[in-house]
Amino acid sequence: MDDAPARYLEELRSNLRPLPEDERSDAVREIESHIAEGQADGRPTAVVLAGLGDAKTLARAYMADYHLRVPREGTLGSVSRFVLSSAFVSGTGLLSLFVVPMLALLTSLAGVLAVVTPVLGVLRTFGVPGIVMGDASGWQVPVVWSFPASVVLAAAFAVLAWAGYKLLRGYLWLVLAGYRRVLPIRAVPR
Amino acid sequence: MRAGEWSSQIRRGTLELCVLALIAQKPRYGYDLVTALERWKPLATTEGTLYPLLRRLQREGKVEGSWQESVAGPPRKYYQLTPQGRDLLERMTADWTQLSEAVRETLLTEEAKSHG
Repeated sequence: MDDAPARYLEELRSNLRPLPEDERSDAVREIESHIAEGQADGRPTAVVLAGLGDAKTLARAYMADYHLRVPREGTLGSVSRFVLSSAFVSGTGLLSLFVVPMLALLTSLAGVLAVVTPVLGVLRTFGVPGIVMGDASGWQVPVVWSFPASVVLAAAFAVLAWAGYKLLRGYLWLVLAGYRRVLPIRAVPR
Repeated sequence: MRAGEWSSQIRRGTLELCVLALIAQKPRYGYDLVTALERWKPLATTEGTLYPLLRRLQREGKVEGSWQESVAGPPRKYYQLTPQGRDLLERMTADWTQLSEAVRETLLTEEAKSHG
């Protein structure tokens, strides 16, 4: 027995993932029925499958207008949607104006410091003048401890840079997800 | 626009009308529609277009599908028109009749001019 139909149906099923499960299995079942019908009609399996076309293309055709046709739950009236969208876009726009440059600056500054600090630590160990390691009271790190101290400091900067990066990414993701929610964007291009 | 692209757009639009008309005659399943459409060469469609179209018509409430066991072979999904689908078919048929008459007359007029 030929397993090409099974492979075709499996590929179709996995490419139809964005559809609700009941529609998805109904579509796969219908195509399965079509293949069996064609075979019973005496058509070679390869011809029947060729008629259906590439499984990925078929799945795309199934989903082409899905997001436009199914009204989203809790749909607002067009006016309130417009007002809410405007408020969201201008609000996050204003917030982003501060949040994004600040986080970006913090992240890149901490990143640079994380790299530079150990280098300075090594230089101080070998007596290069002009490198201060200490606190405001005038206390200085002993010269022999310069490198270990600098590594600890660098680690702190690295953590800061990483946290800044994560925050920035999370923020952008949240804002973009919000945009996607307020502006109906078709998930599958026609 | 190339002629091939043009005719495929025309077909896509008329396929919906033909599918509704075929389903209006009697409940039909997918493979049945494919073979019915194959009888007229200009209407021959790829199955890759037909099944997604049926899905869309069902989603829009124009047709209803129901699975039925067949005597021999796999179960079949039969489609029939809903009242809403019947309305759509009527409107599309009227539009199509008007449009095709207008196009035919336009072509005849043009032909008469170029010969006259």
